[in-house]
Amino acid sequence: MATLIEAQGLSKRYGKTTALDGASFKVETGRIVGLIGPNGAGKTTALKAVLGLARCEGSLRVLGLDPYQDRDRLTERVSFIADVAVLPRWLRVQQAVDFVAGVHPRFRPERCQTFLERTSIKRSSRIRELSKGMVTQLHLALVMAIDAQLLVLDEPTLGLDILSRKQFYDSLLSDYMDAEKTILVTTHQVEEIENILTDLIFINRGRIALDLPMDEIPLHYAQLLVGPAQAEAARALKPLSERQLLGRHVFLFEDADQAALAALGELRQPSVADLFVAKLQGGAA
Amino acid sequence: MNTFKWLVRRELWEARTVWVAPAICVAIIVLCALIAAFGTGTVSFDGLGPEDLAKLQTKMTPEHLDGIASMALAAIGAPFMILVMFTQFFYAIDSLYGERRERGILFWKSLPVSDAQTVLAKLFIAAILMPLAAAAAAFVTQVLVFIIASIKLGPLEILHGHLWTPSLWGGSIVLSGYLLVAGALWYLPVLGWCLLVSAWAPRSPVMYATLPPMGIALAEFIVFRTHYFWNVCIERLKLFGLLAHALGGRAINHVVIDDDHMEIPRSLFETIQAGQFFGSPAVWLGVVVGAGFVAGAIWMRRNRDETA
Repeated sequence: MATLIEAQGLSKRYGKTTALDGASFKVETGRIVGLIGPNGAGKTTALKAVLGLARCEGSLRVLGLDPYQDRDRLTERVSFIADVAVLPRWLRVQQAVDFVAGVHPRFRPERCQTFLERTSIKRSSRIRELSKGMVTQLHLALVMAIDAQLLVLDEPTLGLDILSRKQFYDSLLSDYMDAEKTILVTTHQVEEIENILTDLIFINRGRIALDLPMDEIPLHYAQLLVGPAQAEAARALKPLSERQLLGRHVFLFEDADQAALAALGELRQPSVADLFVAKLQGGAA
Repeated sequence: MNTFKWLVRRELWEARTVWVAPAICVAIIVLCALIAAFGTGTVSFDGLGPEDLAKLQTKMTPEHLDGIASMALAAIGAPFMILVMFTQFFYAIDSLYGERRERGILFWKSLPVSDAQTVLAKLFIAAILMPLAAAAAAFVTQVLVFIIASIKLGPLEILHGHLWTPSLWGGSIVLSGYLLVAGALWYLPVLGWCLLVSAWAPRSPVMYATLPPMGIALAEFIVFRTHYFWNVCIERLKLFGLLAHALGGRAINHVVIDDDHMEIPRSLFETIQAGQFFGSPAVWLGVVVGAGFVAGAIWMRRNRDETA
């Protein structure tokens, strides 16, 4: 499997704020990678570095190129939605489609057409006349019609209702994704993308807190539910986190002896959200 | 090249002043001409009555009358030159700032269009397309006003037979073409500066474009008691600066009527001083400085960090 993104010791400062603090990670071709972190963790800066929009210290290769130096050569192969609603307000829907079709050799207008037909967006409308959700739908239709090797989505579904969010991720999987493509996505709504991700990267305070393929999570992490009687025994096994839920204690363990845990209570696979909370609290303590 | 075509088309979608402003100017001038020709009021020609005009006619050679006709064409063209100066500078100063203010810049940057292509497309609009649109509008106005004048000459009757000569219109078109080229070179440093400030200014680009040159001029005055920098800026900005460099003022005929001396230009076409203009170090120095500003604008759009 080819390495699409390789970052080593990525650092970036804005004045006194450290946005990235020696972050290292790899993304392989054909994966859907979730980059998850709290606000101000350095997600957006990492994405900007990958897109060649921000210069960082450390080494970074995207498709074998330095994204900052070779940005002009990368833009055709990498597409992104950096933030929601950045489509210019004066632009008309038809103009946006025509323009992207005009300048982007990998844009496929018929696919954009298919996506737009599922919405109620009118071709003659100006962006400023569309609702926030419609602007996002238009932007997604434009970007999904581009056959890019790497698609970067920064909070792509912000402002969309649950139905549209679900539709978007469904069509991302069924209509867009294939073995040649790679998606790097950030979102706060982790639960919604949990089952489409193949890889998970946690970022906190500019550092990578976790970097695992989704199918390896059960090998390393386990959630244990026990009654109050077994709580002390569970604590002795050094859990990553502990919380109480309906009178039971919920522990999250990293690289623990799963047989020993199973003896104490009910074992589950932790959700990404549980893992996120546990890892970041652990990091903060 | 295809990308450039789309970039220019996009600018025209956004900046409708490119053609709206000249179109309004055409409408106003033609309307004024119509009112002057067919309205109830009388038109006096510089305070001269019909008898004076008749006297003039006897004193004037056909060459003089050709000169007056060409002056009429120039008078119709002048408002368009002044108008386009304002529209092109305001366009340039808002173009790169506007896409940042509207945050559309990240959408444009997500497409395979380089910063150089984007900035050069905007420069092309400001330096070439806007003046070209204004020149075309001026031509339409000149034709319309002359048609109106042909239908009803009024006090301009003396010009009968001098309004539609090929040399007049040919000369006018050559003059327009020459001024388009000369203007593009002459104003390059101003437009380049506007683009650079537009790419950089955190807010209010007009203020950031005007205050630093004024500061430099003031500092020069305080330290050296001279106005050199200020004069260079003003010379570059005012329309007369361009005309003084591009045209020569020597093509004048004197007419003496009774004791009054009148100065009447010969065909404006003859005032073109191409050798003087294209041989002027000031022009080419300006082009070099302007190119530097444009390069700076490209660099700024490329490197200005949007998260900061």
